[in-house]
Amino acid sequence: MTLTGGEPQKGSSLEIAGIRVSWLPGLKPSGAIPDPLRSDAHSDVVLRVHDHPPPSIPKAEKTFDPGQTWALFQSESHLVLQNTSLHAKIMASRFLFLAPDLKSGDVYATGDTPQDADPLGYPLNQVLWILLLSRGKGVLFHACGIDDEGRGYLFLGNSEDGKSTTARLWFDHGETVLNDDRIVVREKSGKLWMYGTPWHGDFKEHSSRGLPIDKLFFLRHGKRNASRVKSGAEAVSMLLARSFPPFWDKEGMAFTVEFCQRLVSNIACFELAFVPNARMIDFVRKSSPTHRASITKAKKLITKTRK
Amino acid sequence: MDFLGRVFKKSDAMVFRKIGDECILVPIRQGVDDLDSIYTLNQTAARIWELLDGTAKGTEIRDKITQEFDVTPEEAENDLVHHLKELASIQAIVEE
Repeated sequence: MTLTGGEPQKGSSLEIAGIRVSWLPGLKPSGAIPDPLRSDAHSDVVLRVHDHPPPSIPKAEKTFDPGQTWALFQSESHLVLQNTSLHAKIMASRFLFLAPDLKSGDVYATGDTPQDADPLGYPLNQVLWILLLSRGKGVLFHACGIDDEGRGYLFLGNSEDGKSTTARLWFDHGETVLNDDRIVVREKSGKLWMYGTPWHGDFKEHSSRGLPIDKLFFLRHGKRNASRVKSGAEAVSMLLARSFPPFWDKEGMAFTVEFCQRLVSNIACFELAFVPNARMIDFVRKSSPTHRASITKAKKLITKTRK
Repeated sequence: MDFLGRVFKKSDAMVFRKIGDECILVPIRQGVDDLDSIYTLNQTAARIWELLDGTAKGTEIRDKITQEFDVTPEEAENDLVHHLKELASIQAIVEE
């Protein structure tokens, strides 16, 4: 993450995984974004920030509502993100109105103070990045990323699978932790890169840097260190189950599935049962797809993978 | 429901992708209540999915499966009906 320019209201930006969002003080609600910023080659999105509620929200059509800390809906030509469920008893205090091309928009923030230094705050900033990534840019994963002196290891897992424990083991061994809970993967120069994000879990040391992925592991705790190669539809479904895809958007979802297939086709994937001690590090470094386990065909017509 | 005598098509609310002989289905959803699953279809199920084009009756799909796979017509019919029921239960198909 890079924050520049001091106070957000004076104009600043946030860059995660090579995607930069800039904001500037509110102009007239209908005011056009100044050309110099709109054409800023370094910003993917330019947002105006207003310290008052949105003027009005014409006919809202629900797009996605996880029922907790945010909701997404369509209002005329705008995609609108707010920091409460549509069914919440309290009013939303932050809104993001995005233009259809997602290149500009307006933030309306009242009442509370964003937890982070950007005017959107969590989780709206994370949802914005999910939206931007889904337009052919990449995927956000529930994962821990490790930079092992230039070799990138991506450890995917849901809650309690051992991501923060893994981060601690590698950190104590002197390696760099990109993040223990949220990693963005993008394609760059024909390689698949992983990037740290500011949305960490229990482990506070994290880095915004990016590097190519060397190996990918689906984590779980075990009684001994053991790995098994994963491939094909099984590996793709395991990736999807550990991703943050745009479930509401057919085109974005299709891209996400295709991107996961690209990952599986290009990176060695393993299911990794591990014991939380330093021996895991050597085991991971030595894991090789040549130790291929036999792949058994599913007998069931449909196999269900839970998110 | 008479699955064999009816015509079904793929739901617009599903993203699917062929991966090798298998197929992944992901539902497009508006909330988390119905959001917790990704479905992997094996080779037979993926072929049935391909054949659900909104024009073929269940009986025609059964006959194609019988021709293409090493199964008896009874086995193909049982698998097909079972699969169509599962697909209907997750709203992956709609009757044409």
